[in-house]
Amino acid sequence: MTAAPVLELVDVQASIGVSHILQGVSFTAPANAVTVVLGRNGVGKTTTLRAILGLVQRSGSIRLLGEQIEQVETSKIVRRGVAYVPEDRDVFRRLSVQENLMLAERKNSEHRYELVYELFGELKARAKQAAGSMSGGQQQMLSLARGLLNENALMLIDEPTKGLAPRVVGDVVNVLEKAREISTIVMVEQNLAVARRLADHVVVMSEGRVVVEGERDLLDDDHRMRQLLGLEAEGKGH
Amino acid sequence: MDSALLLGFTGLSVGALYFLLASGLSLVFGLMHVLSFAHGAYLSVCAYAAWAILDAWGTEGRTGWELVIACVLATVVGGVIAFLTELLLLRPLYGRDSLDQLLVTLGLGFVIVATLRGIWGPEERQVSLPEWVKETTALGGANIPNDRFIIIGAAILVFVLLQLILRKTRHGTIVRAGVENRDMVRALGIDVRHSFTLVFTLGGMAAGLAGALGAMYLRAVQPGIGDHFILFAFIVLIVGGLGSLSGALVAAVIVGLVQQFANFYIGSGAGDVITVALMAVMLLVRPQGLFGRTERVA
Repeated sequence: MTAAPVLELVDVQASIGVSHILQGVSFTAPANAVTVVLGRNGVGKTTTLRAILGLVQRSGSIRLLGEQIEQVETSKIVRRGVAYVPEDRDVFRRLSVQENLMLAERKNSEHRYELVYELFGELKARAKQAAGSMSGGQQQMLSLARGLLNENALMLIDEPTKGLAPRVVGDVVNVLEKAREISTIVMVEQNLAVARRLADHVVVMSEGRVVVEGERDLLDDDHRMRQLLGLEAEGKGH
Repeated sequence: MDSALLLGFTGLSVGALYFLLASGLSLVFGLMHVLSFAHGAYLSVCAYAAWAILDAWGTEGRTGWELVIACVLATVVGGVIAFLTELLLLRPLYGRDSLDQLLVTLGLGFVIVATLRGIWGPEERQVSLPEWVKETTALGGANIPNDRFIIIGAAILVFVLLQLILRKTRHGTIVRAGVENRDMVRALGIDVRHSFTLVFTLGGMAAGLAGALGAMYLRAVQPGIGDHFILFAFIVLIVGGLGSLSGALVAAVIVGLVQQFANFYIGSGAGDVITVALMAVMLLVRPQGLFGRTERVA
């Protein structure tokens, strides 16, 4: 991991309404690696991804490929080569699969329809279908397909396995294995098994801050991870 | 039967005028979350533009093309004013409370109407129309004024054109997506502000056409001509569902017909009371309107 980081956050603060969600988030995302962001519900993981993109008001320093982006408008950040796969898929429900993909085409990028249809053959067959009429798993595939369609310096992926059936989780993880070969990834994930399979770099958040950052072997310390994620006290796990 | 048919056509043509104004407001609200009060004033300006052309044309050598030219020019004027409004007044306010944008459009509306009053005075100006527009066509035993067909046809044409733009162009697809989830459109690398400009301009053009056709329907213009129409366009928006073009069309037909039949069979003014009551009931029973959020811009 000697390459310059693709993404660097220093003391990033963000508020939503009167709630001060991020209270000084700092971490780096190494190039050609998967950085997994973990933490209990409500600690600011999703807000961190949205702050990187400028979808919430934020302050602090955010550097993408060495350039400051904290003052840059969302669409311009994305056009620098960032893909976003949001927590709730956020496919355009009334638009067709084809229209969803068409909107994701960035002008300054090759459009990798071959790759997308190789990974998600079903989307080609459902090109004319309204995205909202598909199952949750299929919508997640479409959301990932939108992200993979362009050449990206960075993919921001928010809880890609949330709410999916175990079989579909396996499919999604297989796609993420492929995605890691072609892009740096910052991924929020609550599922420890999935995190262990994909992570190169780990960031653990608590109460709007990063409390631990390190290499993948952090995840092997099961007792500590369960403590950090608050699973021990609640007696549950993934 | 013949009076019911005449009332029906009149109701549809009034509804068509409401739809023209409401279609733009609906798209603007759906995408930009701005409730524009300026569109009524755009209608007034464009009604004067149409009146000025028809007045300048004189009564000699009328063919009907002058009416087409007046409608086209009014549409262009509406588009230009709306474009400038979005660029100069609304764009600097994006990111601020939507109340600020509402107040700007409200203030602009007052300024425009006051300016019209300052230039041409408060009195009505008669609109000079080609004779064939004022004549009637016999249909099912009723004599339907020809302007009703023009207004209804124009509204249908605008509805079809807007649907084509929304469904067959990339900009239209962006607008439909933006109505569903504006943040996600931005997160795909699309500068949604361009769509704001497009939608606001289209809304201004539709208001402009409504101004020309409204002047034709009323046979006169006065500075506050847009006030009446904007009130009922908002009722149409609420009944149809904010952000839904199809909802605006259906609601405009309902409001136009209810208004005309109630005015005729119950008494003058009853139509206005009933349509306002319809809006109140809709807000209580189905606040998202007939087509609601899930049916937006379709």
